[in-house]
Amino acid sequence: MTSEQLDKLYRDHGHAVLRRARRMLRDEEDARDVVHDVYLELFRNADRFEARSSITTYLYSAATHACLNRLRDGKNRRRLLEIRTAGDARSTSAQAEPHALAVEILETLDADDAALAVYLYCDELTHDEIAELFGCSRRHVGDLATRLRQRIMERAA
Amino acid sequence: MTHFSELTVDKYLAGELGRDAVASLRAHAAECARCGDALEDALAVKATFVNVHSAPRSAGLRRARVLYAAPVALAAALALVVAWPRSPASTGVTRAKGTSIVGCYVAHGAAVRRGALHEIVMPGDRIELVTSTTDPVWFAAISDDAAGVRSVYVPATFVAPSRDQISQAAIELDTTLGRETVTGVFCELPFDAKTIDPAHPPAGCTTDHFELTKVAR
Repeated sequence: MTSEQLDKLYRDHGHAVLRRARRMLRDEEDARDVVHDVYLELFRNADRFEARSSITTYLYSAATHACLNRLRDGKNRRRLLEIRTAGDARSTSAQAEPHALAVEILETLDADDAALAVYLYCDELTHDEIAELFGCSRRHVGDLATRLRQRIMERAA
Repeated sequence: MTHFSELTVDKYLAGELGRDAVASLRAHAAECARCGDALEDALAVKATFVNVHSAPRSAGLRRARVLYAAPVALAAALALVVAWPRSPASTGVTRAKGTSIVGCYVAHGAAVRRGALHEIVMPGDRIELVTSTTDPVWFAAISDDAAGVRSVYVPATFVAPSRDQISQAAIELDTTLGRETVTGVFCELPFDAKTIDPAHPPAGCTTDHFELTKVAR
């Protein structure tokens, strides 16, 4: 991939990555860092994208993983917990606990499971859409979702 | 239709959805506040992102140089120098059909003016294209000069509903004298500006144009 091709992809699709990162991170500076991380990775490993049919699908998945990596960072994790708990304290303290628990669970999942959890429970994507993102069958997504629910239940317990 | 996902919005903006899916998405967005807001937000982010991004020069789109990153400066100058009429009728820009129009600003030395339907220009002048559209469209600008040479000034680019949206490219006019027609092509779906015929646009497309008459300095 040439720098010109990368630049065109940035101009054409960078806004989608930025929007995705803003939504997941709720921090403008971190979101912009994620955009650059995603495109840098795309430049270094163009074959990963070229094997896919859709640049949009690739970037959506790449942005999700990049954001989750940032959320695993200790500082961001603490910030996320503070945001969650502070926001919930204004409503009911009872709601803060599930949010914190959700973040803790997300922390313990591996990268693919964490992404799947985000797709299922945050983004509310269909199994067809998730299958496209993972490059697998819809049926396999159903199996993955079942296993994910079991893991979450175990950790919540 | 259930609420559409963020991924679907991305595909829509990238032109990856088919005609039926686009129609379904637009219909749902018109009725559903949540999805309408999500789409509006996505369009706003896209518009802002393009405006603040400084793309590198793209060489050789045509003999008249297409200068990227220049429009921001010109647009800023225009905001200070010119208070032009805003309605299509009063700007002298005619609309072929549909709800999308193309116009231009002309920079001659330090002077900047709003281009008329038939504008007199000189080699070395710079023009900057602007579009106004009521619907999200794919826009391209195609030029036919006096020597019969067709050039793509702006390749097919997504444009959100907006008024007087400045294009990313500013064009420095070459030395070919005579009349030049600049046609804006607006389509519902992405298209190849190099192969489309502005005189016979396909279904789902509209056109608008203005003329430049280039005279010697």
